[in-house]
Amino acid sequence: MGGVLSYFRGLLGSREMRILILGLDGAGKTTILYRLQVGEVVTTIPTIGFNVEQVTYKNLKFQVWDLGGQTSIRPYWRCYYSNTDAIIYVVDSADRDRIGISKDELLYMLREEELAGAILVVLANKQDMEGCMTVAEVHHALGLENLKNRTFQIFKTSATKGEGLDQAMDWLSNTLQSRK
Amino acid sequence: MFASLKNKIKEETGSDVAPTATNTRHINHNNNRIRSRFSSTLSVNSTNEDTGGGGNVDSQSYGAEQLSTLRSQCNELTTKVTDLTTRLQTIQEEKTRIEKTNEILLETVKVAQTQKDIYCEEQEKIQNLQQSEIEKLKNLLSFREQEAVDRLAAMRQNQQQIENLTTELERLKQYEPMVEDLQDELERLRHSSQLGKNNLTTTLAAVEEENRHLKMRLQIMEQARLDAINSFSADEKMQALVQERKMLEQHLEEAHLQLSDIKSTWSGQNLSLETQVSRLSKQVAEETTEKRKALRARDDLNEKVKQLEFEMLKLKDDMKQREDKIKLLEEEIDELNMALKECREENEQQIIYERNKAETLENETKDLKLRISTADERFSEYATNAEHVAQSLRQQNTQLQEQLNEAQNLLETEKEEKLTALLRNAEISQSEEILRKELRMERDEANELHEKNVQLTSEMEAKTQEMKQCKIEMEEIKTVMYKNDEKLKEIDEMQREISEKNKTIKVLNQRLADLKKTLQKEFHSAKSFEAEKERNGNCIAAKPPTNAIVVAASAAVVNDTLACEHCGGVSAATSSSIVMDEVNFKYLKHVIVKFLTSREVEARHLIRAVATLLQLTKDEEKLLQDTLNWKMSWFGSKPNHGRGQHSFSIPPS
Repeated sequence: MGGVLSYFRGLLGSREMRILILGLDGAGKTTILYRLQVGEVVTTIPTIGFNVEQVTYKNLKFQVWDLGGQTSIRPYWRCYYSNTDAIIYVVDSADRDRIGISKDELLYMLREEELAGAILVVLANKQDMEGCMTVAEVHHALGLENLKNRTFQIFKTSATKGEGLDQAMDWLSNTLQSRK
Repeated sequence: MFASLKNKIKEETGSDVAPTATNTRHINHNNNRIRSRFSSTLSVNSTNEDTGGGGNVDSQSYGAEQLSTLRSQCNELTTKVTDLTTRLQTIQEEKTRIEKTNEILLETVKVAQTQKDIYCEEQEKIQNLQQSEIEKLKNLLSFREQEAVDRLAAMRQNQQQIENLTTELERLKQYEPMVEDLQDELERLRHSSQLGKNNLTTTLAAVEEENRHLKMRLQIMEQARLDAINSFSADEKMQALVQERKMLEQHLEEAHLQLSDIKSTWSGQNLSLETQVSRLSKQVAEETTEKRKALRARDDLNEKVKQLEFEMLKLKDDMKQREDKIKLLEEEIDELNMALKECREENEQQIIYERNKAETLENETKDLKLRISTADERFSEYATNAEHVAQSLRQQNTQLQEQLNEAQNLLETEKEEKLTALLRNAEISQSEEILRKELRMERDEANELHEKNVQLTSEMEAKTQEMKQCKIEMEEIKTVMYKNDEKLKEIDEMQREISEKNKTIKVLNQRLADLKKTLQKEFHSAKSFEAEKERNGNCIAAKPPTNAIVVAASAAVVNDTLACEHCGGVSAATSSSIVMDEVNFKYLKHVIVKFLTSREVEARHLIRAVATLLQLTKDEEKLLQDTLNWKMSWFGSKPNHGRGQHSFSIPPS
C-alpha cells in the first residue's frame, strides 16, 4: 500500500515543503519572501495577517508562509505550526534593543511539540546596516549554542541587496532533500 | 474565303513583282490581269452586295469562269476540310485512345510506385537482414578464427609428432647395420659349422676306410694265419692262434675305445654347435620381428605424414580464405579506428578543457581552504579573546555583585533609618496634634522636630552621596523629606486632603468595579458582534473596533491610575479573553477573508487560526475541519451541521 502511495506521489511530483518565516515585526520577513519568489525588492507595509507564496528553488517546491510579527498577533503563530518542514527565523541585526525579545520568542516557539521535527534557519538580516551585530553576536544573543536536538544553521543576509539568501536556500533545500 | 483570296493575291504579286525588271511587258500584262481580276472580284463583291449591279460581258464570263474555278477550288477546299475533319476526328480518337493509354499508364505508374514502395520496404528489410547476417557472419568468422587457431595448434602438435617419429626412424635406421652384421655373423657361423661338419664326416669316412682296411688286413692275416697253421703243428698253431687272437682282441678294444672317444667328442661338438645355431636362429628371428615392426611403424608414419600434409594443405586454404576475410575486417577496423581516433581527439580536447577547468577549480578550492584556515585561526583567536573578555566580565560581575551586596546592605540600613524617620515623623505629627491643643508645647516640639529633620536631611544627604545606585529613591525620599519639612505647618490641611483623597479613592474603586463589569459586558457584546458580522457580512464592521478601542483605552487608563493591588485582577481578565484592539481586528479580518477565498487545501491550514481568533469550541473547530474535508473529497458523507435554529449551514434549496 505504501509502495503504491509512494509510486503515485512519484508520479505527481514530490510533496510541497511547508516553510514558515517568523520573526519580530520589521525584521524583513515579507521582503525576504518576495525576494525569494520574485527575485526583486518590493515595497512592503507591516503585515497584519500573513502572506503565502509558492517558491520553487532548484526543482523543489516550497509553500512559504510569512506570518505577521507584531506583538499582539505573535500569539497566533502557533495556529500555523502543524505539518511544518522548516522555519526561517529572521532577526534584525541592527535592532540591539529587541534582540532579547527575539530570543525569548524563538525559545518559546522551539518549545512547541509540533515543531519538534522542523529544520531551523536563522537569518541575521539587515547586514548592510551600519553598526549592526555580526553573525557571531546574533548567534550568541539568541543563545543558539545551547540548542540541542535541532538541525539548524545561521546565515548573514541582506534582503534588500539579496546577499546570503541563496546560501541559506541551498543549505535548506539540501538538508530537506537529504532528510527525505 | 476572302482572306484566302487576299493571301493568294499577295503571293502572286509578291512573287511576280520581285523577280525581274527587264520583262516589263509581261509585267504590264500581268498588271492588267491582276487589275481585271481585281475588278472581277470587285464585281463579284458588288453582285453579292447589290443585285442590280452590272458590268462587262467579258468580265462577266471571265467572272463566271473564275466563279467556276473558285467553286471547284471551294469544292476542293470543302473536300480538304472534310478530310481535315476526318483527320481531326481520327486524331481526336487517337487522342482519346492516347489519353486512355495515358490513364492506363498512370495506373501502371501508381502500381509501379506502390511496387516501388514495397520494394523500398523490402530493400530496408533486406538491408536489416543483411546487417543481421553480417553480424552473424562476423560472429561466425570470429568463431572460425578461433577454430583456425585451434587447428593451427593441432597442426603444430601433429608436426611435432611427425618430427618425433622421423627422429625415431633415424634412430631405428642406426640399428639396421647392426642387424646386417648379425646376419653376416650368422652366415659365417653356419658356414663354420658346415665346415666342421664336413671335417667330421671326412674324418669319419677316413676312420671307416681305415677300419675297412684293417678288416681287410685282418682277413688277410687270418688267411695267412690259416696258411701258417697249416704249415705249423697243431699246438704251435694253437698257441700262435691264441696269441694272435689276444692281440687282435686288444686291438679291437683299443679301436672301440678310440671310436667311443671320437663319438663322444663329436656329440659334444655337435651339441655345442646345435645350441649355437638355435641361439643364432632365435636371435635372427627376434631381429627380423623387430625389423618388421620398425618397417610397419615407418609405413604408418609415412601414411600419417601424407594425411597430415593433406590436412595442412586444407588448413592452408582455409587460412588463406580467413586471412582475406581478416584483411577485410582489418580494413573495417582501421576505418573504425580512424573514427575512434577522431572521437578520441575530440574527447581529449574536451578533456583538456575540462582538466583546465578542474585545475582552476582546484586552485580556487585551495585558495578557499587557505582562507578557511586563516578564518579558523582568526576565529580561534577571537574565541580566546572572547573567553578572556568573558573572564574579565565575570570578575567584574562578581565585583559588581559584591558592590551590589554592599549597596543593598546600605539600602537596608537606610530603609530602616527611613522607617525610623517615618515613625518619628508620625510621632511628630501626633505630637503636633497634641501641641495644637497645647500651643507652646507644640511650637517647642515643632522647633525640635525641625532641628531633628534638619539633622536627618543632612544625614540623608551624606548617605546619598555614598550610594549612587539608590540615588533615585533617595532623592524621592529627600523630596518627601523636604516637602515634609515645608509642609509640617500645613499638615492639617494635608491630612484633610488625605481624607478627601481617600474618599475619592473609594469612589474610584467603585468606578473601577463598574468599569470591569462594563468591560466584560462589552467583550460579550463584541463576541456577539463578531458572530453577527460572520453571518451578515461586513455591514457592522466599523463599529466594534471603535468600541473596542474605547474599552481598551479606558482599561489602559485604569491600569495607569489604579494602585498595584488591582493590577493582578485586570491582567488576569486580559489574559483570559483576548482584547479586540485594532490590530487584532485587522488580523481577524485578514484571516477570515483569506479563509473564505482560498481553496480547501489552503483553507485547511487556517482552521486553527480562525478557531482561536473566533474562540470556537473544539466541536465547532472539528465541524469546520470535517466540512472542508467533505468538500475536498469526492466521496464521503456530509458532516452533521445540525437543524433548525442551531444549524450551521444553509440547507440546500
